[in-house]
Amino acid sequence: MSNPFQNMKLVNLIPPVAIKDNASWTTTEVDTKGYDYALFIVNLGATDIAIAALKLQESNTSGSGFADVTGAIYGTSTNLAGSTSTLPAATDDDKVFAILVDLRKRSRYLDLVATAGNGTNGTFASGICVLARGHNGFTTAAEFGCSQVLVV
Amino acid sequence: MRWIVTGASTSGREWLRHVAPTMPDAVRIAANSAITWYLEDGHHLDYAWLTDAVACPKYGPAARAMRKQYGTKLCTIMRSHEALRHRGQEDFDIFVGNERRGIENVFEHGRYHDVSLSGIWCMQFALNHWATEVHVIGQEGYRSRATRNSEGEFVKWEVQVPDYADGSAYTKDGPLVTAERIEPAMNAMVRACPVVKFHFYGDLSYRVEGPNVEVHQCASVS
Repeated sequence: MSNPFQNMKLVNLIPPVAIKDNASWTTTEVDTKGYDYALFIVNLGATDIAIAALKLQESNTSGSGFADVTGAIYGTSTNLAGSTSTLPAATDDDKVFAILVDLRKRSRYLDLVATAGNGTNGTFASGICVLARGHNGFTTAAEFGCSQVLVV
Repeated sequence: MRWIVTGASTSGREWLRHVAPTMPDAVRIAANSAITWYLEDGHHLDYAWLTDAVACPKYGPAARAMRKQYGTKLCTIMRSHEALRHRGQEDFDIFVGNERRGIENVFEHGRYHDVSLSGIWCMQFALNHWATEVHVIGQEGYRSRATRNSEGEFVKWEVQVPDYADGSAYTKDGPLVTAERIEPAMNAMVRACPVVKFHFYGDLSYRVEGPNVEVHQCASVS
């Protein structure tokens, strides 16, 4: 039986950094070449303000030319329940927000835009992107996007 | 019902010492460091408000001491159980709903609106608990102006003056926050509650107006 993770890779979107207030997190651009699906995961920590922006952008050029991905914009796009999504609120501490992407319809490079609202203290957040159904598997931790990997 | 709502601005503690003894029957709510004034000065406190992740651990001990001594109720915004646990608020007594998303400078009686300022949360709490007279102490707005970099981190003060009773300065754009949030929120509550009499104490850095408003502004509390 093949390991379902064999053809996956992690991208450290937003490392756990200091609290953000009225500012955007510096996010890692994701090169999706060689993968069919991506899962963007944003994990909020303590927050006292709603998120101002949480969306995906895409481009065929690394580092420039990014445009919003229709359907991947929290606050306006439709969520899994069929309702209009809402941006993470000031009381959404410790909650996880995800964007599932069929990469076969998308440009090569994806970038997450995440902006903390203007609060009293701000928001803690981190993010990971899981690239899935890769055309090639990984053999090293680095190829999996990690520093080290344990397998049991 | 008469309420005293206490924030932590520069003249707050002195006004509290002046006003509280004259209204022993007033219901009292205080936020953040103002809670410690009640504890240290021996004033009865009915409600202690704590919500942001910094204030909760910092002033939580004082709030719990007030609960032990005076039966003070600890109040906060409703969050998930995990979030409350991480803030050390699992034992709080009253949880109010944040029914709206985003900053709103409106007030509707019976509801709570996200204003991201503890003093104004306390105002809403008082108004939603049948206040007919609200004495607003220690909510004078912010005058310091600090610049922040693109990461949202504090860089320096352009204007640094005491904004809090302990002499510390606000670390963001105080006049902007005062103009865009405090002043509209205060006036929204005043307009929404025309039968409530509002008394504001201190050197306000914002304008609040209405036939039901009285501002007590003295060079020194006497």
